[in-house]
Amino acid sequence: MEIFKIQDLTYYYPESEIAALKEISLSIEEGELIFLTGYSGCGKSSLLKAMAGLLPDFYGGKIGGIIEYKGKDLRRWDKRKLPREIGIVFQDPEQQTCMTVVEHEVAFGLENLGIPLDEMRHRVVEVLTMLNLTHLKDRSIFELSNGQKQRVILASILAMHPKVLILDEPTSQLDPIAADEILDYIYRLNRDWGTTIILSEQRIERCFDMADRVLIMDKGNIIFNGTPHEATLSSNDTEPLESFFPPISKIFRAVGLNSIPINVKEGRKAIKNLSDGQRNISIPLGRSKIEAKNDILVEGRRVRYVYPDQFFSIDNMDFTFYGGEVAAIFGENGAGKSTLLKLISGILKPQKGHIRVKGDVGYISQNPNDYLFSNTVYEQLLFALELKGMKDTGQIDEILKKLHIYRYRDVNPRDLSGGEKQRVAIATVIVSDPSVILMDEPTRGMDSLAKNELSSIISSLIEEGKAIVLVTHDIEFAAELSQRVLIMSRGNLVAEGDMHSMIGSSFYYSTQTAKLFRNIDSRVVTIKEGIYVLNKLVDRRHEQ
Amino acid sequence: MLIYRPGDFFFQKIHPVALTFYIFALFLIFIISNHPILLSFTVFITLLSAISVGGSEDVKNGMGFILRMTLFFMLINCLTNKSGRTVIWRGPTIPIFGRLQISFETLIYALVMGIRLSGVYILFIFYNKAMSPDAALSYVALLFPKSALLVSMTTKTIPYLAQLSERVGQVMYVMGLDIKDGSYKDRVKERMPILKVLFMSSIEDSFSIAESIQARGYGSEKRSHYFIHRWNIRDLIVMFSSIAGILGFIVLCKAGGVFYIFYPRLDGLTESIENMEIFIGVMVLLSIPALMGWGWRHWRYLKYKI
Repeated sequence: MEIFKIQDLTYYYPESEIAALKEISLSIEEGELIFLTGYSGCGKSSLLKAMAGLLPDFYGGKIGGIIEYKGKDLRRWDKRKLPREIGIVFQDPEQQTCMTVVEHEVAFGLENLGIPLDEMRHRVVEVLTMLNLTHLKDRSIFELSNGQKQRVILASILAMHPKVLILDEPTSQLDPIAADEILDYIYRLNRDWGTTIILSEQRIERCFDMADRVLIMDKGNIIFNGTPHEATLSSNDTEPLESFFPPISKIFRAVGLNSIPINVKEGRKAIKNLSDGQRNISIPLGRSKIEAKNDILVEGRRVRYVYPDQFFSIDNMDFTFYGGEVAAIFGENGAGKSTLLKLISGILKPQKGHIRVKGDVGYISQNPNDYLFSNTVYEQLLFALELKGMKDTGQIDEILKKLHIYRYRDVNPRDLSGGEKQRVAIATVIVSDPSVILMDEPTRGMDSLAKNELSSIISSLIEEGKAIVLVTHDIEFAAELSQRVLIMSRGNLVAEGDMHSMIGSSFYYSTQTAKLFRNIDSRVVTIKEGIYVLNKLVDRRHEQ
Repeated sequence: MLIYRPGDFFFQKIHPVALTFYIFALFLIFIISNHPILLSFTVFITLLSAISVGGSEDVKNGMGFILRMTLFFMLINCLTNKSGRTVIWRGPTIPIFGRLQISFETLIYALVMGIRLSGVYILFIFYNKAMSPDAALSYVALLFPKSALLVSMTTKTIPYLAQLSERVGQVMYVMGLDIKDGSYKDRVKERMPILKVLFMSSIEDSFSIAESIQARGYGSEKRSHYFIHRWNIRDLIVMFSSIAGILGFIVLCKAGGVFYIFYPRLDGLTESIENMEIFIGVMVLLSIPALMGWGWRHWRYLKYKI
């Protein structure tokens, strides 16, 4: 049964002359799991909000075309009944909570719908159990991690028993473990409950193969609508599509094979057929270890820091970071990664041990909005320079040009897109030329395009001899950039080594490529390396 | 931080309506009375109540501000008020303010205003720690469905801003903003960029929260209520003592006893109290909930009985 029917949907935000959605036509069947992807600003969120009935009612603007839900124009639906039918979960859990205690948050939507008390209690207990939140039900929302908060929001929506669940990048603010949990629940909801799911996500490698259908958007249009396998078999000249395939599909497409796997299981099977047990292909490693002793820019010895109300946050930790390298730090939430950055940057002082830093330290936090308050981008950077007692001798324009944001020099930074704001925040930090740059989850919520841009910025900073310390859960991103990997757990450094050996040998902190080629060569971790090895395998197959 | 954290606290266990009456009674005294004894005693019981819900750290953190404000009141009062007769010091004549003089009465008046301010501040801490914003929303929604959410969100803003302020402060510190050293004026000036970020981010975030609230059907139908608070003996005691305290206070307002005369000379502390029995009665009645809060934590037998 067709649950959504969209015809020629066009939408303009208020005071905008550019259409956010352009004549979109689409049909969604009941019980389908739709994966919606595309670059930031392509219209994904607008389409989802329109389907949830929030556009244009909540935002205003001009709308054309028609959205039918269950055969009836969505605008003619009784707005009081719509939340029972369609539930929507947004990106940032911080900005969705309305109550202070978990149980009350879950009940909030039910109270709004006027559900009787007995039924409310039943539903609340049920969703708390289903999402493994029972032990948190009396806790304050403020004490929860972002992953837990997003689960609470999901529980709150599910308690309303919606027929359709719309999720707008629900894991973009979460670490991989929490994100995997949420995505597992979503998958189960679709399979076990038959809930129609429309999921927008940037974690392509995780979502691509679980969808019944993939929709790819670009500039307000749907440029692909089909199954995941159909997407990977589309012609090579459709360049924007390629960015939204999982790494495995990209590797197989680059080699030009006919059958394109969409997950590790299918990929392994394909490689097994190709390799016939060959395991002696090794890759030339482009990036080597940093060994020069005089490049040490940060050195910590027996560093200890304990928060007043917590266990050890950093416990007798030794660490060294070198100029001209990117060191990636992995670890579970609460491992002490952010505390380590705060100690290096001077926000916190070690209670024992010492930290020596050569030169100045720059710190790039997760949220670029934390930096931005000036009227123009130029004034923002000037403020940062003046704080360091420096004057603008032309370096502001130079940095803006280097980061490709010179055209926004006189624009209010708050008016820019997420990726552009991130670049302004980076410019604000690097304009005073720090020798050490600390980055805390810099790719959170970024699409592949923004990640590529950030990657090239970081590469140019390394060439200048700066030390980059990258705290991230984005293993694919870290693998493309870093030379060294450090793994932290409970305030200690538990493992350290060069990127290839660490990511290649890890079960959890591993890329999709590494999982695919583990039996061939455990040092194959990036897409480029995967393509190299697969080409070799194909060549040998042809030789035989 | 001024965050409601659920725990085993007496004032979090009592009925929100009873708690509202108790808070209202204390607030009424701070706003209307200027009698040093009544104000000091009410500050004491408010302090006891705030400590009993785990607010001692917040009270300690805010005392510096209260002290500075009291000194500020003293300065302003000395500059502008010439009504006191017991002059301690006479200074030169300056434009606008005339001849400077410090009188004993102006100093005591400013001191009492400082006590009043500290009382309001501690009461605010107590409210945040004791009253569940969720329960408040549920009950206020019965009376004012359209304003209830606004009230609840406003309460939630405080912990949100505290967290955001800490995060932005850290970012700015690494950039070189010095908010810890320098004079008070310098530190206030240095905090301006942080305040601007807070202001902008909270406006942007409020839009997202409103969107989420609409998506969850707020205001779409007549709300049902998840909170069912049963009335216990402890709720009735708090309710009764608060209402009786309020009534007694109203009687005192009419008969005299809550207003103290500072000028031209300080009145005797007990001379203006026409009905001493009621005066003492109000103080006793309002101390009952505070003592019950204390007893909940330190006297197991009392906790068991109530």
